[in-house]
Amino acid sequence: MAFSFNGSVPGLTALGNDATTQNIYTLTNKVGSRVNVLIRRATVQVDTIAALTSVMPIVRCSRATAISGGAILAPSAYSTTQSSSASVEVRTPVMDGFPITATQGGTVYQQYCARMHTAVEQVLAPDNNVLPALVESQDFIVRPGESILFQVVGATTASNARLSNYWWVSCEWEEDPIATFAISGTVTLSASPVSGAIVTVIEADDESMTNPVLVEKIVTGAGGTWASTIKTGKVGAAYVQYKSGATYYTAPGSPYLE
Amino acid sequence: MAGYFSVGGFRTLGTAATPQNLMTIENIDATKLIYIRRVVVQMDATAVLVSVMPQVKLSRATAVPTGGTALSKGQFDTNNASNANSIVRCGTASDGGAATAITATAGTTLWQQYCMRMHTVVGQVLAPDNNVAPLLVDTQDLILRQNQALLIQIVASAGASNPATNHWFCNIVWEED
Repeated sequence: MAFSFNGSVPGLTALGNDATTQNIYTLTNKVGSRVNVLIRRATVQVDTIAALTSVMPIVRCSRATAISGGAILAPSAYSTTQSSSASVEVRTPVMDGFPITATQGGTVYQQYCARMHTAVEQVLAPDNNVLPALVESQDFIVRPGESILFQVVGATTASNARLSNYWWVSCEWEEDPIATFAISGTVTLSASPVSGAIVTVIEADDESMTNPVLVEKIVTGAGGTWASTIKTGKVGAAYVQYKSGATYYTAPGSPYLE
Repeated sequence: MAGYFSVGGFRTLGTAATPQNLMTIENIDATKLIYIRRVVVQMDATAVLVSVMPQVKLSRATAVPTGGTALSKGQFDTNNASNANSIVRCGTASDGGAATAITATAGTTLWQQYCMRMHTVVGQVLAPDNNVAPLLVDTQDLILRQNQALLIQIVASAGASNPATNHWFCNIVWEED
């Protein structure tokens, strides 16, 4: 496989939130993405600066849905000739004001990390793998439209105290391009190219438009041209809208692009 | 239905039973095999234990387990569905919840692990991965054929060695052909 990206990004340090669950990192491969994301490593660390004499929180990895909020991080490529797809989105919470909202799925893997039964002596911070280390060679895949979530789960609200626990997650992944074919066209009005027209590209499993997906919205430039891609084996379609003053235009669509 | 799958169990309290069945994985399919790739146990003990800590033992159960709580299985790739005849059971239905006892009898021990104890309750408590199957099963197949099961069992020298202040969980990774 020739990967289009190999890189990583650690999340920001997240304080505990005095709640029984806290979402501390998500990775989403958006609907319409042209890559599969292969997770190669996911680790969590915590520094706990106050004593906790009850059971420590668990950090869980699951496939999640309905992700929003937090801040979006820019991934770093291991080779500067590569860049991450714009469809791959990593989120981290930012202090208290910008939590991540997500709905967790079944636990794929989990980890305890650390606690201070009494606050004495040296404190260590080993890597805690939140996915099994074997994903380095066995593909754990986040396909388009899928997300993974790393979530702190405390036994009680006191287990993940706001000013005691300092968390972060680091994730490393590769992006495997999905085979596509090219589509393109030119929007014209009275034989002249139209800039500012909106071309909507969708794709689906078959000609009955089973499982339709919005691929992208393109705004045409000066030459009225547009270009996009459709996954190999899928059926694509493109539709045009254009507004000039108070006048609205459309054009015959380009369906059944295979 | 090929591919890699994994699941993490609920946080399970020690029951003072000797032994305590923590988790099982079974294959009841006549035509498919399960290859165990990793079994990890972690434990957080919040109370002092000055006697020997419990061992966690991995064995082939003498019969297909019953009882417990069947867990939802995680997929390494959502294009691959796990076989419905691959079943993972946990000894509780929620984190720290009441026991939902797994009925299973241990066979000969395949591998075993100590995890941790607190001789005095001071300082930092860390949680390394405790591999209950040797790491080489990553590449050397540990196979479950039809009606075979693996049992992850806590074996304490005395009931007092595994009180409810022991908080256990187990992760299993496997491959299906």
